[in-house]
Amino acid sequence: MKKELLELLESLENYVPKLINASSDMAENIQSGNEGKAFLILKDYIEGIMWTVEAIDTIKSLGSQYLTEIELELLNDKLKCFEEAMLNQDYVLLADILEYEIKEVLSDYLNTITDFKMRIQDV
Amino acid sequence: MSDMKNQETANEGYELKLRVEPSRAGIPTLKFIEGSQQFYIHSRYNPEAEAEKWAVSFYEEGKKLFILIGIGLGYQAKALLSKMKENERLLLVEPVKEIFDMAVQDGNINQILKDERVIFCCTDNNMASRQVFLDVLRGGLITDYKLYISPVYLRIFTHQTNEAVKIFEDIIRFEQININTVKFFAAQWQNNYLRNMFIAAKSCPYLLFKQRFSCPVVIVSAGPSLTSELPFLKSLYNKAVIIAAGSAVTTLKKNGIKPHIIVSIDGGMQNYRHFKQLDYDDVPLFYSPEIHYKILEEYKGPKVVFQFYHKDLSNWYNELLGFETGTVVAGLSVANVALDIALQVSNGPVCFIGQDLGYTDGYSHAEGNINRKSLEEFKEKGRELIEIEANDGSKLWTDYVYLDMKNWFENYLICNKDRQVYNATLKGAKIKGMIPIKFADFIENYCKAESDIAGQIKEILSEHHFCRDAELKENVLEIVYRLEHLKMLTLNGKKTAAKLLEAVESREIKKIEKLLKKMEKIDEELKEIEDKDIFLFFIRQPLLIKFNYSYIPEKIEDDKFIAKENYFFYETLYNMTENVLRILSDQINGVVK
Repeated sequence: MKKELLELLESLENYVPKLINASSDMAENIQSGNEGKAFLILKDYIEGIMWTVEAIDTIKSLGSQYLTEIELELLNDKLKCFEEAMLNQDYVLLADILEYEIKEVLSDYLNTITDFKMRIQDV
Repeated sequence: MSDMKNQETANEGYELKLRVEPSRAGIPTLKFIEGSQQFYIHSRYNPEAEAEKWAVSFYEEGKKLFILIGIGLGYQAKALLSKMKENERLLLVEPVKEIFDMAVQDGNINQILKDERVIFCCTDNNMASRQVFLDVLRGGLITDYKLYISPVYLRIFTHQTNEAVKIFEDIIRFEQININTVKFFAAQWQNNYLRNMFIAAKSCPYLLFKQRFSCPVVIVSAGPSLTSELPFLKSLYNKAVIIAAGSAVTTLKKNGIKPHIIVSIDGGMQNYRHFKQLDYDDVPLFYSPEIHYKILEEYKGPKVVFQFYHKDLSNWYNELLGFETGTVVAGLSVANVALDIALQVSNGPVCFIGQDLGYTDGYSHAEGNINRKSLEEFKEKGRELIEIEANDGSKLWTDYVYLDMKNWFENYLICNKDRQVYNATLKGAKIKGMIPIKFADFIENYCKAESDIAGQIKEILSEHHFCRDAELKENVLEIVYRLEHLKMLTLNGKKTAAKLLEAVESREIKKIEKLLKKMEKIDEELKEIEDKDIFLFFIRQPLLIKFNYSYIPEKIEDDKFIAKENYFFYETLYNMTENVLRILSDQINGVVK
């Protein structure tokens, strides 16, 4: 059980930085006027976010003290804003949400995941 | 920033609501509010960082001109300017005046507008912005530009942004037509200008005709509708000044109608073919010095010279001739020019006939005109055609060349609103600013009083005292002397450039350095003499046009490219100088004979 937990945490540790970079890249492409390029990876990006949310949710369900600092509602709210900006074709807002909001949330999640993994390993 | 406050604007009747508010980074951002929705025009977090990323991606070294449509508070402009070189230019186009007003209030944009590299226009003023675009074109910047249309503006201010883009595209197309005409005529133009010098010196200055009449003026253009108006013209000889614009004179001649004035400007051979058919010896030809030289050599009637305004060149030419010619506004067609002449010579009403600017009844010109072709012929050649509204409400096929002439009229008439200009070409294109009228009605209302118009013209012509050949010859000999100096310099330049190219190809570094220094001295000497001598500056014009629009050497390596460019430049300048010398020598010898 501990082994599987650590494996999942490690996967998250490897994957979330890629999502963070993708958030920056997409924002940069949109701000440069290359929305098309940004949207090429949109599907994979959203799937990646979904996987991350599921993985975190799975870990939380294994123990009441696990990843308590992470509030998934926060990311969900950002994603709702993201969806609305996409529908309105408000690309300025879209880039802002990616660069300053989703990226920030993911970075916080990553820090929490890393700390938690270290604590688990010490036990 | 500390005194930044939320600013709002609402435009009555349009419900445009804009708000400047602080971004998370503390600097202002701009928001547009529409009902319950809002859109940020700049990042609500950090507009400067956003603009910087954009500028890094957009800026491209080597471009002469960057165009930004949709400026907002100016962040992108500022970021782009920080990357641009001194000789690069930035054209800022703001389609929404309210945003510009807010940007000025905000203050960020003021420093940007003071930058010498910046050209600005607000396209809510169609006429002014067209002029800005035209000035940019004529500055030669439009040969190499990069355009950015703000996607935010396209999304939110779709109508205004599309209007701005349309103005820009119109001007580009206008320029493309002009570039093709200029390239075609450039060397020929110079050739005609020089050959016509001695005849110009013996011509009457156009200036004498300014404000000499108060009767109506009829401008006869060569469009297909002219044919139906010919019967009316015969009765007008003593009631209106009849000006034949260019090739329209051939239709008049075939129908036994004599105009009072013929206006011609075209330097092409085709124009000469029209005039070959004329044998008038008493109808003055109003011309500009670029007209095909054979027309002036062979035309038997009196000649009246005018210039298109070019500050230095006009003054220089006046000095050479020994009198002030008088200037006329340059236009795209001879009819454009004829309008300015008409409004200058008389303060009476002006009426156009034959000004179709389209393929009325399926033809390009009136019967009897050697240029007359059917619409089908143009279609077969792939001419791009557009359908527009005619004066009588019917539909008319036209093309972009005609549309540009129409635009010229409309822009010109905006600046001459106090004058009555009528258009009796009812099946022709609707021209804003011209009042559509039946020709019979114009005649009935305005052409009542009779006077000896031809006699008045003859009297005006007799007022001029002609310059002596000797004086002009002396002036031209002095030019020849300066040209000989230029010829030696360009020959030296050509030889040095050839050696430089060889040295670059064989990579002889020391030799390259020595030759580059020599090349630099020659360039400086050339610049020095041209700065002092408008005529020598003028010699270069066709070369500069070729350089800007045609010459694309193989860009293998930078140094080879520069060496080839230099060689091409001096070789062409040398050939041109020789050509000019030959023409002037022939002219002087002709005078001696």
